Amino acid sequence: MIVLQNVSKLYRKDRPALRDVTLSIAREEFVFVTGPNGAGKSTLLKLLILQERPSEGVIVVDGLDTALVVNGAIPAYRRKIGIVFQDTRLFHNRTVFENVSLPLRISGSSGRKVREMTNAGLKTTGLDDFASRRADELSGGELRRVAIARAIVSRPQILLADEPTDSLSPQASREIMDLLLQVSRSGVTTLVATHDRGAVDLLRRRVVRLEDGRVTVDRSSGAFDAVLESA
Amino acid sequence: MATVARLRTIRYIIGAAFGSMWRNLITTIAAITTIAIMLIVFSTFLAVNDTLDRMIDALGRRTNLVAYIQDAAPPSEVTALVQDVSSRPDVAEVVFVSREQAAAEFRNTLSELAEILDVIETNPFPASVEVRMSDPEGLLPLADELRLQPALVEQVLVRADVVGRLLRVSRLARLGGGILIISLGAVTLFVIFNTIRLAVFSRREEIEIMKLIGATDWFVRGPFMVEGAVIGFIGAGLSSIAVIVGFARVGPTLESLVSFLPIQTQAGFVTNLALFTLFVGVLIGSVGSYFSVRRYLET
Repeated sequence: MIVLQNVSKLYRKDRPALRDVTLSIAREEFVFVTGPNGAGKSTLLKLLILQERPSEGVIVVDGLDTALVVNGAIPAYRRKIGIVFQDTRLFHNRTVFENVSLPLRISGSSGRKVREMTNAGLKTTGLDDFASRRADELSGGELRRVAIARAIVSRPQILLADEPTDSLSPQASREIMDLLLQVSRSGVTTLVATHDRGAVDLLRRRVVRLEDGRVTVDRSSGAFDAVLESA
Repeated sequence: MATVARLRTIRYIIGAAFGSMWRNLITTIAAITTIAIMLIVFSTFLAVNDTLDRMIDALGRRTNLVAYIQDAAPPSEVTALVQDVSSRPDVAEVVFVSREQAAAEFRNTLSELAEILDVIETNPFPASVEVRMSDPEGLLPLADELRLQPALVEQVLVRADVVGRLLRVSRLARLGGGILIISLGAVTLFVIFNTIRLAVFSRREEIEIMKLIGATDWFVRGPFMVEGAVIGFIGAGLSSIAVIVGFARVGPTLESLVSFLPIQTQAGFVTNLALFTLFVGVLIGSVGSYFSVRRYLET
């Protein structure tokens, strides 16, 4: 589903954000990307949504070489990917329903489809009762749920999540990770960039560790500590 | 199917624009107020400048030279003189006033002194030729030429000082007015454009979010442009109302104060000014938004 071949990204010549990264993620796979701050996790996600272009190498997403996606085609490409941002990037002065339904509005869906799919997304994320609440009235965990609901509402094939449990309590983190796993089980290829040791240990999924822009560990099923030890 | 989706998108864009105006009410009110104030200043200046222009034109249309004709002058020579003066390219109009017409005009304009004419029983007024110049520069040479015909012309009166001043004032007023209109227009555009730019700047994150979740440039830009056009329309509408009310209140007072001058208060002028202001408001609002959003679209 996602293939990176010898991908490098240089913001500055003396300090590349990613170096010669080669990675293959199968359809419906759930993958954690871990690593310290500045390891290149966010850069990897930015390259996958074409917020940045690689300096070298090839990225293929769902059989499409992203180098062939011209700027005018980026919006359509992005609509196939759901993304949960670290800082949620929600519209805080709008309701939960308005936030979650936005990708459907963007794709020009009918009012009925918008209602049905948004309600389904809210139900999946346990936000049925929050539809008319404004985003700025919600807790951190609830906001993450809204961000996940928005990311999956269009039923994308790929879900990217950047530190989705950052600053959350262990309980809220666990709920968010369970939710992401549930989404993944519905057939969505899921890539989660995280620092969250507890979540990695709990789910025991494939872990790719980045350090200084390089892949240092790639284990099909690992715990956070085991990854560190082997690194 | 694509057309239906496009129509839905347009409907969403319009709804989103109004929703956003409501959510960002303070910014919206600030932008409307700024646009209204700037357009009131600009419209008022346009009106004042136009009034001055018309006053100068009207003063320029008044008679610049009067040649009093000798009583004994043969009518054929007087006719030839009138034709000769009329044919000059710098002369706009020549009017021959006979002795009888002069007396009648005296009776009309100074009716309380009309009895004097009855007492003296003869007509003391000479015939005259009244000349209005299209180019006041040719006035003094024409007066000199007429004075060279003493058998025909008894006396020549020239409003040279008035004409000269008028000429200078007219040139200065038109030049100064043009410069001021351009400057004030530029300042108005600059202030309105920056108001819109600030409003867009405060919502740059919204633009980035929309882009990251797959919105096209037009989907992002659309609500801002509609919002800009509506804000521009409301601001310009308020400005138009203020100008119309202002003219209705101040115009008659000014007219009565300077009844000899043409103060511009015709409904047509005010309507045209209001329509022009509305057009400018909508145009600046939408175009300003287009360019303000453009810089944040590269995500």
